[in-house]
Amino acid sequence: MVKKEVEVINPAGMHTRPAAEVVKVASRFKSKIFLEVDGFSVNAKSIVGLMGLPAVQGTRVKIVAEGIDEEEAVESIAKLFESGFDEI
Amino acid sequence: MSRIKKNKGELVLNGIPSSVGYAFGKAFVIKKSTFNSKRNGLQRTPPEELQRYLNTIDEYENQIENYLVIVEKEKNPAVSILDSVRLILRDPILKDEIKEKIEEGYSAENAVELVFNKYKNTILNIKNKLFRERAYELDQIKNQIIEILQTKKLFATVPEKSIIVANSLSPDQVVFFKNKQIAGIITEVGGITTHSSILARSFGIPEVIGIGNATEIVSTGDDVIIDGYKGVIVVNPSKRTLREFELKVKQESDFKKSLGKLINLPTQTKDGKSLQLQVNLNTKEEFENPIIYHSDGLGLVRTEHLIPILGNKNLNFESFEELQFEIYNEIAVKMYPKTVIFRAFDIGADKFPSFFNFSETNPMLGFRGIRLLLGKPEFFKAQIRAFLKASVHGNVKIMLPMITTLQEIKESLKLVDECKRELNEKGLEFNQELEFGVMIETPAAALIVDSISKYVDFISIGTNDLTQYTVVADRDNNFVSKYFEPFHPAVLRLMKFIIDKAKKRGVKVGICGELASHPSATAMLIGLNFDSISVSPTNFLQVKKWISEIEYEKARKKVAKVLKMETNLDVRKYLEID
Repeated sequence: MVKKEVEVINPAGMHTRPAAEVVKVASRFKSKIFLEVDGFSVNAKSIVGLMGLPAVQGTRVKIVAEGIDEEEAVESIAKLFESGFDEI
Repeated sequence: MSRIKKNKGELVLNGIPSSVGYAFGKAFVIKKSTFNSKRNGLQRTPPEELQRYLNTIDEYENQIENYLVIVEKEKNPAVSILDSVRLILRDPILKDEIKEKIEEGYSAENAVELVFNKYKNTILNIKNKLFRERAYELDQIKNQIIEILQTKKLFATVPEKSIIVANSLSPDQVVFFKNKQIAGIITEVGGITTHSSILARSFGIPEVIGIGNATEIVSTGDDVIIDGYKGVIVVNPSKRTLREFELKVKQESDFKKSLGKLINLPTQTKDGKSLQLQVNLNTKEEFENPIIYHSDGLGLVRTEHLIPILGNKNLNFESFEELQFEIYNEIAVKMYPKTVIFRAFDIGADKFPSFFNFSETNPMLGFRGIRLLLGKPEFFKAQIRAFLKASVHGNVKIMLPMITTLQEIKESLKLVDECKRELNEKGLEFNQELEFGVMIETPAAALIVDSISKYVDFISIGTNDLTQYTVVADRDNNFVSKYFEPFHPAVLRLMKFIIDKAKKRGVKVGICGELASHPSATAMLIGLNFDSISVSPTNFLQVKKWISEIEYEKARKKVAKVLKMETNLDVRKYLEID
């Protein structure tokens, strides 16, 4: 299992478009991938799950992946957050 | 049972303006599908129900693919919005859960309802209102799936120029109806920031939301007027109302014609430098000027004109706060998604409220602006709370007047934090990320702008006061009015100083004042590299035209020369200002 904590840095937070980006990237991997906020965990391949995640700007999000491509999965999703979903 | 006959008289209903414009047409009412909410049991086997569900999702996805082909040609927010609808339909977890429910014996409709509602409830538990509006989006998509399950046809018969009346619409439905050339949209629920409203605005379809029970009150075939500026609909309008309406439509179209092509283009110079051209709002009446909807937002909303109400109506601060909130909220909603910058009361000096009962020998240098606000913290906080509550849509910023010290900013921020805590405790909503700025209109503030920039998101230069306090001349005093000179090298160099220091810290710089009302003065402001310019509604179009004729690179060079000049006369001669 691989874990990494990232921060939501884009001002609008993780609204629908960034959530869609996460789903698209996560779906490319075989691993099980979860995002956690304040102990609340959702499947990163599920847009409706991500829509329920209250990730405003400044929120710390833990990315957790388990499977054959877990390292790459976590890094790819972390990159999305670190780039502010290209909104900054 | 006989149906209650509707009174065919005119009916005026108030909602929330969500997309501007006027529309008139025959109503096309979309009733929510009703279905047996119990387990479906024996009618179909679970595998049959599952197939119905899968077919429906396929059909829905196909429609979206078709819409995507249409909208991808036009650069439009619809693309990413439709894309997210498609992702929701394809969501593997959602699909699995619905499948499970169907296997347990629920009908496809019930399974969809149960699973979508589960996710909707999670979203409704989020504190942030903007996030919660996603719940509507899930609802709209859910309704659409059930609609297809039940009818298998998608309102293919809706006539052109119809007014769609629905509980809510999914984003793809908005695209569908746009292609059906409908005239307008009325919904019972929704929010101005939902995808459907964003789409209605981007397509220029007039829309009013929040008309409760609209699908009950209005019948298909009723004549309906939509006023998307005011958020009002009229069902079965009288002849007189219709005549008045036609007049308004004509005025609107004449107005748009008079604006010419320029109005629909983004604000930019001839050589392509973009900036924001905003409008100053002094009174409530100016808010009636339709030009504001064509601007890049409200760069300065003065609030002083509300003060007399406090005295006249003898209100306490609490009811005054409520009244302020209603006014600020109306402006924020009508301007959404454009920025609205509210300035805290700039009272004192020439604009002294009677109830404070002050008399000063030199009010211009006295207890005014932020000094007075901080001296009356309960009064100030009531306004801050009203601003905060109106910020919930995400387009409101607040700005403080007459700063001279950093301490004033720190104290104000402390009050803002207190207000945020109070609202949080009451469970009231606001934009936690609300942007905060100050006016730079005194030499003292100008010279410490690098320190100020650490605490604020933006600044705005007020040219009138900055000039008056720099050159020490009252422009309303005939004896010294010739000394009131915005083109004094001191004022210009001060502006340059402010812009450079603030930009170094990543703080946006705007300007509001009368300086932009001359073509070469406008060129100078462009050359100084302001991020936004805010002008009075009456000057807006003229300034926009000037900007489109200015070349930024040339203007920059001109400014460099101007900044080296030694007298205002040299500057005026060079800029050809009388």
